[in-house]
Amino acid sequence: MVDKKLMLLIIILVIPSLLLGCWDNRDFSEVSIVSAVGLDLTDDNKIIATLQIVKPSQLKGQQEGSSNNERATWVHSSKGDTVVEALRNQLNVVNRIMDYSHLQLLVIGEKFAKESIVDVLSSFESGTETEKEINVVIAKGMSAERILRAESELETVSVMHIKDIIDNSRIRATMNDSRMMDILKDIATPGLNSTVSVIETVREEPELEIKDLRIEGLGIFKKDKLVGYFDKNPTKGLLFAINEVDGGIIAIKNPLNENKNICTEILDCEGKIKAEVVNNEPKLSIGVRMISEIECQQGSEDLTSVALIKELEKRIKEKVIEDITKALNSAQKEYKSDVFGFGKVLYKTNLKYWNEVKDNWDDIFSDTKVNINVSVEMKRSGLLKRSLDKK
Amino acid sequence: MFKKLSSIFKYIQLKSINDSKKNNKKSIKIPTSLEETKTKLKGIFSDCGEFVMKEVILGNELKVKIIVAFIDGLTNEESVDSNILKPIMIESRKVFLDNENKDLLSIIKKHILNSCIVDEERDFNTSVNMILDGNTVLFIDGEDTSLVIEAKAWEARGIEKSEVENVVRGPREAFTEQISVNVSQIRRRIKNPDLKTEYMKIGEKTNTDICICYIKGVVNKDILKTVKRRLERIKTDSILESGYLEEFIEDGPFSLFATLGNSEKPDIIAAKLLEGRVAILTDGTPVCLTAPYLFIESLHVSEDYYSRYFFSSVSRIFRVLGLLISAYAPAIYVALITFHRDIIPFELLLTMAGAKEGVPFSPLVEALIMLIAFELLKEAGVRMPRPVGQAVSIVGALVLGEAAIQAGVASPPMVITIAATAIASFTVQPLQGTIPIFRFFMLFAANILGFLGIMLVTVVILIHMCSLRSFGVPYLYPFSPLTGSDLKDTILRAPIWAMFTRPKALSWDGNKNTKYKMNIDYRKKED
Repeated sequence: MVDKKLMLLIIILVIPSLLLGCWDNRDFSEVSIVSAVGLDLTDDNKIIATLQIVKPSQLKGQQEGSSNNERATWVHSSKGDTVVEALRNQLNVVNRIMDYSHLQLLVIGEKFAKESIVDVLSSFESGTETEKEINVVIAKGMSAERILRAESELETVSVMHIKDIIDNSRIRATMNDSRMMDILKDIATPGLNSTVSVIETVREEPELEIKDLRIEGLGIFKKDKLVGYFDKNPTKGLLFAINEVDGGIIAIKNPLNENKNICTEILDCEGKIKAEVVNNEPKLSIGVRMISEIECQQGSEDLTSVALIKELEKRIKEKVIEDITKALNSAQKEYKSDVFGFGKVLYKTNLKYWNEVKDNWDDIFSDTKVNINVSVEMKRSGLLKRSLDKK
Repeated sequence: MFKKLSSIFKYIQLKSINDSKKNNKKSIKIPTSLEETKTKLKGIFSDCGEFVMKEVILGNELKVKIIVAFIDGLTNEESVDSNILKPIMIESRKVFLDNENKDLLSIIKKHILNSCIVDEERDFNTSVNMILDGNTVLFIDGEDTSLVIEAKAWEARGIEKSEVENVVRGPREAFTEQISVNVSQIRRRIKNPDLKTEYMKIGEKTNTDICICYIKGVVNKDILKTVKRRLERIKTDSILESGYLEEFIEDGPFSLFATLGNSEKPDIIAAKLLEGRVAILTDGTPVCLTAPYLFIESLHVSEDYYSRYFFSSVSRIFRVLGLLISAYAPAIYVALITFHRDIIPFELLLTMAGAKEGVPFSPLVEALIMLIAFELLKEAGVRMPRPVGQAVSIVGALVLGEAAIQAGVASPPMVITIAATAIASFTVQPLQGTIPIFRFFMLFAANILGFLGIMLVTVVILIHMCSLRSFGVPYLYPFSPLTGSDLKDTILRAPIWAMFTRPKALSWDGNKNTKYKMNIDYRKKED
């Protein structure tokens, strides 16, 4: 009786140990913490994997306040036929086993993105070690390796700098914080093409610093291939439409003084993609509702009359419509890629129609006129009624 | 080793059952001839320097020889002189005595002796024990009964402040080594005839006085019976401290958890008695045992009831936190940095990795070094003479804290973890012995299986605790079995005016309240 109970207890206790994801402990000193991975494709179709590895000893030095200017990270590249092989080849050079659990950023070279982004992401998706929510960026017009080699003045681990910029994307409205899982989901969703944020260089210098980099705009995909880029304004338009904006700034001309500007802050923004089928024709529309306030104003005029507020709302509305139109034009005419996800709405609401058009949806999308409805509400003029008078 | 222990355990169990069946002490009658008594006493107390035997003569006309026997040092000699010897030798002449006086004993008791406590004793061995207890015994020529007069007095420590159980608010006084003083301290707090004190002697050589205290009508009769039965069953040479008793009567002899509580403060004991517990006082030690003892009691202190309930509830929550930290902190730290790095925030991970750099040991070894050092320091702190205290604390703080980091033996996060563990472990005093052992178990489990290992050890401990009973009451009561109304005084404390029912597990009556009757009949199990 007792033995039976004991056996049961032992079995209960032993079984969970088979459920372990990872066996064996690893000490800090046996692993190298990888903060970022960059992937490039060479001309002969080899994959170059670049790792940014944190140097703990350097971190310790900075903790104690000693002023050595050595970098806290070490960047190294290795080649291979597949992503995993390239990553594994790092071990030929690096003594410590890579720990990808704290991967912060995945940088994909432009060439690679044009080939296929799924190849890259799936090799990370299937692995158990990495988080599935890592940020992905595309290195526009340069190799991923160069970005990882860029230095930061503020952060010891330079990739943290980039990561923090990406984290603020929702209040900047100039880029999307594209995470690995979201991208994969977008690619797998019918009627929606993915967008991935873009990092590019402003100056051509061999030794980059973060300040030389611009993290702005979106890379436009068609299926899993990069087809082009949106710069600042179309990106904003797209993000307004797909409800990815929490804040941001819209500059408009002062209605009382056309030489001066007024800067308005977005307090809340709600975007909605609508798609219907009327007479077997798709009817697409974008609706945006925005609440904003005056953040600052040039000139000391009092803008707080009803008529002027209406005028301001109108101007913001025009600006938003302009951005969305830019994005639409670009997506429809230039890239023929439905990054807005009209097709996804159709797929969800009208599967029958979707099945008819899914094969040439991108063409249909490109030829369909999209209605843009924007309503703007001006909530307040900041804390001031008007700027101070110059006397 | 464990097998050996358990076989001894079983042997003793069987033996004591057999012994109790034929437990009939032979009584020896007191010889009527005084000369015989004298030689007997001399034989027994040979080479006992303190033994005093004085032969006196009672009466004026009728001369009766009486032996006054006591032990010097245990008796108040002044009281013997004035209350025993003087009446017998001088005052007795005023009382008319002659041969026809059949009832010499009662005359001595009633007319001559002016001590208040006088008992008759017919058994010789008991009389000898009474002498050893510090009583003065009169053996009267021609009588087969001795008179036991209490005139005990010996040098003892007075009532002092407890050094172990400190309180900010509440009574300071603690028990002393004298059982009579201790009982009186309890009785001063519970002025009620229902407070019963039953005395017994345990220890074939030491004959230690044991007192079972309980409040009649409040105590659970079954628990009381069990306590008595277990005490009666003890066959041992000596009881020098209540710890001896504890090991004989506790429920889980192989368990790491104590199933008997102890305290050296009369107010705590009084409170426990009023809850329906049984207190066992032992002569010669200020530490008093209480039964049954539940796990939750180790998180309680007397002050919880003296300060307002908000504050005591908050401090209890902190004590639970302290318990968890002191048991888990090193294990969780080790599991985190060896298995679950992914849940540490990146920036913190970098700092930790930086701090760990240059430390050659694995986290487990690091933790073990620091923990063992801490346990050694603790042990040294308790045992060392007071003037050396400073040296130990300097060595502890400087060498182990500062120097260990600089020498690269331990990393700062580990030192912080162990320091937090050490501080937290002092918040739960009653579990001081138990927690370090579990801490080591957890540490090894964490090093092998990470959080899963910690969980496994926790599950094993919980299973064990659930199966444990203290005198029939489930050890984890009122959490397991969950009893809503008794949660009022667990991790949070309800206001005193809201706690108007006694703990059900302790005070259930088999006839009235069958709902809370325990399923296992421990009486059957034991007999």
